[in-house]
Amino acid sequence: MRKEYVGAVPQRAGGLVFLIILLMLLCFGLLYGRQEAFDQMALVVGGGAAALILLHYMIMTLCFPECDRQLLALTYLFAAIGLVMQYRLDASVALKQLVWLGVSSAAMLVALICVVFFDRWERFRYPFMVLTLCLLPLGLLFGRETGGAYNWLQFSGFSFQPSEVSKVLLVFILAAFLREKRSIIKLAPVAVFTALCVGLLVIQKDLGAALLYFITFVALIYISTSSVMLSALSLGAGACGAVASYFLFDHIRVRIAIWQNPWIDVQGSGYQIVQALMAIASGGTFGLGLGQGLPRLIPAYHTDFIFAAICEEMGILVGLLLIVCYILFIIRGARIAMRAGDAFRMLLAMGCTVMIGAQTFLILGGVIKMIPLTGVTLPFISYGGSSLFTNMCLLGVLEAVAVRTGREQAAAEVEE
Amino acid sequence: MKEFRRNIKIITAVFLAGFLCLGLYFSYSVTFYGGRWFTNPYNQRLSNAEKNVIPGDIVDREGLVLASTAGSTRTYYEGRDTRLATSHVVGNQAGMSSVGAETFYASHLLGFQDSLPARLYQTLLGQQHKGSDIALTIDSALCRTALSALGGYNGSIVLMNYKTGEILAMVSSPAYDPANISAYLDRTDGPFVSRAQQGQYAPGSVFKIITAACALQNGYSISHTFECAGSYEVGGNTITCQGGTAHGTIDMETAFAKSCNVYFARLGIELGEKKMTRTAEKAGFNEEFLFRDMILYASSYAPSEANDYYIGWSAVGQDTDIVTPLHMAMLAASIGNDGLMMEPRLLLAARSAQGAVYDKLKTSAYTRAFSPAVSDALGQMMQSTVTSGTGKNAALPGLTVCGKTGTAEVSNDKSVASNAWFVGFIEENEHPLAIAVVVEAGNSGGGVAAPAAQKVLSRAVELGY
Repeated sequence: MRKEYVGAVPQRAGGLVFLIILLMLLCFGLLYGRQEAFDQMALVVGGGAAALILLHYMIMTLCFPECDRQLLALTYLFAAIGLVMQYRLDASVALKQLVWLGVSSAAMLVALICVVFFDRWERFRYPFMVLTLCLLPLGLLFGRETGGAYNWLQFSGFSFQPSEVSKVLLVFILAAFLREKRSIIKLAPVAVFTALCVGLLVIQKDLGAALLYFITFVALIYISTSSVMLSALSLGAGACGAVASYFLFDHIRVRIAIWQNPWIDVQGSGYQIVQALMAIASGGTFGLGLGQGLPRLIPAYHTDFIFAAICEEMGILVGLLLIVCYILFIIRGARIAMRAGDAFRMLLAMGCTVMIGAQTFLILGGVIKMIPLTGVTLPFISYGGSSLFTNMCLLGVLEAVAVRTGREQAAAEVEE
Repeated sequence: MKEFRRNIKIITAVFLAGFLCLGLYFSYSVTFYGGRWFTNPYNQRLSNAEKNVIPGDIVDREGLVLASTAGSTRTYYEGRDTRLATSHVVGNQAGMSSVGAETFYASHLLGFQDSLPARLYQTLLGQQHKGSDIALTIDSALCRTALSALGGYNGSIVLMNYKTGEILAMVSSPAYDPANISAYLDRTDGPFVSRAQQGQYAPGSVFKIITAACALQNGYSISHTFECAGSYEVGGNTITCQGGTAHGTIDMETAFAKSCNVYFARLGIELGEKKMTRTAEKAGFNEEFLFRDMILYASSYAPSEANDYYIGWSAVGQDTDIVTPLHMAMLAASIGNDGLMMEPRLLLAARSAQGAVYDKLKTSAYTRAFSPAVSDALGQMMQSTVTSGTGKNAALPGLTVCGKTGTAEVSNDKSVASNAWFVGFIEENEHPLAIAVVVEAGNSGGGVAAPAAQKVLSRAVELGY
């Protein structure tokens, strides 16, 4: 039997997971009795979600006891809150989300197995680059416009966002290039590549993704080179790009203007954010109660603005607690990165953490009007197949790094 | 590897700082702006709630029911005079006057402030949800007096207690009848505008209070003299006194009492825009007021150009100076209260449908506008304004009224009649009353606004405030 390494891996989050499932089932119970006629569907979705989470947790703990269970518990919490809210907002959407959760959980396990059992990912950096550069323009070529951006592909009722999936590839590419200290010249290909990706995304008006790619790039460059100058240089280049796009693109100017004062055009361009702020304020500290508010007045209520819907019905307190949970998620992710055995895996883990953390920051900051709004989803909570799929894959990579570290340390102990 | 770990820590710290800001900003913005977001007229949750919730009553400080719900219709007090006099403070359910209590306190009236157990109780018993009743600090009898004191002119009167900040009367004219809104919809003179809170007027000579305060703060004494020849040349332009009156060599106290433009323009020019701005901003100018009990539009002091001519005119309340009547009442009140400006209060208490009283009036200081010494000197000058200057018509027998008049020009060529101002307070602590009166096209602060103030103050004293 493998000896448990004290401190390396957090142990026993089973109670926590049960608590989360219980909470979720309670919420679905409430939704079941919301109307005069009992809503059988709520029990189906709730039960399905509970079974899925339990199954996933059991597979993880039985096959990979070294995994970070707290990270898993946090993810389940996000997914559970997401599903409850989706169901409350639109039952059919919640059903789709549940299916996506199942698919993504499987994908998470696949990603985890890939990284745990296969080592030479560095070699794939060039093929990955080519793949990414093929994927990204797809939206531009065949995409249809959704919310002002051309970043969706649609196949027979099933849509898919290339910029989401290539996030995972980007993390691998960056980690592979930056794993050893390189001169600026040798960093040029990866810098050009990232710039190209960001450019393609900006053209597709997918500002959120462009910003995420950029932030991840800068963070990993800094970790790898420790060079403040180089990071400042990239930040400067990014800032120049941002200023240039401000003057080039109308929609970016509009975004900034809305952020400065959405109340000037309450019925027009400021509509989204004003509706979100009014929803949050209506909820107050403890919320109006599940099913008691009118969160469907908020545009994009089940994707970008789900945080406002949660605040309206569950309260600002729950909103703040969610922020705390995302902070915990980042801390766990960074911890996995710090304990990793080699530079590649460190960067891999930190890349995933930064990607998820930055996305959370962008959308939460946007919804509460702290920063201009960029349309990205709230990781694990928002509705969105590609987004959930991608974030679960990133989680899989993170957990894989944790598992590898745990196994190496256990092996080292046995040798002693 | 060690370096990597250190850098990971740094990046994580940056992220944590970002999320901390997120949490802090979120708490800050919902605390200070949440109420305003919620009561926004575009919030459909309010109109939706109105269908399902019985809104609570609005009563004045004497318990007179100004608005209540009978069956499914909202009714307002039966006396038309009272309805008109309280129309802007109470507001109306149609949300036409967007700063009224019906809108601003909608979260109370519609029961959004109820505690969780109270809501659960109502839901479980299957009762129709009933909102809270609220009591306002206004006295409707005083509001009626104030509206009639305006004598048919457009304008506004605000009367408040300078020790507690309670607003006792706040009227705007033209007023409207909340029971008959449709009759006012086509009017172009703004009957739904609460001029007291939303009216942005040129303060005229009332602003000399700020100029005088700035001088006193910067080492000038009350006996400092200037020469007034009725007009003053500055940079090729002329600043004139009302009617071209030459006041001769006068000190600050006389200049204040006689409202000499040349004196205060020269004072303002000598002090400069920077010092003037500092004093004005301490007294609430250029500030977004975020009061708990009401919405008040901002006042501004910002000379249109940084040259002596404009600085001179703005020092006597012209140029681009803008104030609201309520802010001027707060200014007078702060001088009555030794320089401490209280936050204006309008909510006396709220009572939930289950009878729990909450949100009881808590008085709190808003800002220290002037030091006690400066405030004393200002009070002395305002007193001589009423005893021997332009404010004689505001005097009350047996009481010490301190005040300042103003006649604010609204056009450069006098084609539009000037607005008449009076702001002041009663010095005796048994009657801690401060008032601001603005009469549109009244033409004479001393002749029109001061007598109106006198009427309202004497009625308030009579009622024991």
